[in-house]
Amino acid sequence: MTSVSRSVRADLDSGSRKLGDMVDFRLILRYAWQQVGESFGSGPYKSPITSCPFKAIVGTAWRDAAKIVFPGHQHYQNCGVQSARQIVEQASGQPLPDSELEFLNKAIDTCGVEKEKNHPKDSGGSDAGRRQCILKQYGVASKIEDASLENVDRALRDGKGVIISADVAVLWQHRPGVPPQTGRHAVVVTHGHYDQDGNLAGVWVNDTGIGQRYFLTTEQLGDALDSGSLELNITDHRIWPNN
Amino acid sequence: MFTITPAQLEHCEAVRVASFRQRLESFVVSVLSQRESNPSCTSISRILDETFSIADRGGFSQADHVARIAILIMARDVLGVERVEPELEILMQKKLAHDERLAVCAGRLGLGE
Repeated sequence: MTSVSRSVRADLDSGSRKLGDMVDFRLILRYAWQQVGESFGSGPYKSPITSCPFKAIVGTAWRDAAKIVFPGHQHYQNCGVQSARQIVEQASGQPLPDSELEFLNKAIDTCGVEKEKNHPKDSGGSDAGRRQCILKQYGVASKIEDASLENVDRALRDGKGVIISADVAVLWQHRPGVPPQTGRHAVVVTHGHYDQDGNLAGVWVNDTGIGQRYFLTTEQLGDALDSGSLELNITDHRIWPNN
Repeated sequence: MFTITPAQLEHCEAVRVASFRQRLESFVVSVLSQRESNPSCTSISRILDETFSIADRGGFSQADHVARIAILIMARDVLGVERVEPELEILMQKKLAHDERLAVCAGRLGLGE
């Protein structure tokens, strides 16, 4: 009930405003007139609403940020490390001063990222736990979640950083010019692509393994998630622009 | 991402108006129910339609102004005020500010403060 009707009812309940069985309706309207501002405010009645179902989820700033933070082709076996670096740089809003090798060496020292005999060429292997450690070293709180489409979808809608794991035999099978390979690989999923009803139709990926940014349909993403470690790195907070 | 088409924007605009219309409908019902226990949907709908029609023609865009127009229409309908149409025509006289038009009209209908 509006404040107007509460006021009117309170007055009516007092019994002082009734004329026999007939309510003095003019009095009711006067009350309504006096208090209508309180009930409706002076803003435009066509005021913007936030629940418009067609609000764009990913705007220009977000798409541009995904391009800017992409470092290109990796030089070592450090896909997960380079993925974590993108998340760190996007979260902090500025590029790190370290070279790719310096950043890798710190990750080896602090988070147990794999260091091979043929260092640094073959070094850099990481799992979700080590990537979470790297993120934490740079002040980015994150969680490891099950690799499901729902978790990726939810995280992207919230603008959170997402790293997925996949077998390259699945992840790269649709990439032209990429020879068939196998092996575990980590990439950043930067943002979603949504259909007219707002459902996730696919995602954009920053892949340092082949130095490309590309699109995966939701089905391809699902296949990729099923082929990897079955774990996601997801930041606790939004890192991408809110438009 | 997806592109927002003109048809979708139109839908969003319709949602905005509908949202206010729902609030206004609740308001009208709460006022009318002080007089009759079960106001007819037909009369409520007509009051709302006429309210928005007058608001559009008179250039009223403030929420409280539009709600006041609904009150004026209820006053006309329920109280049977004579010569009410000329009074409501004041709302369309754009030489006066919106507040002034509403005040003049309310005064002539006996609703003024």
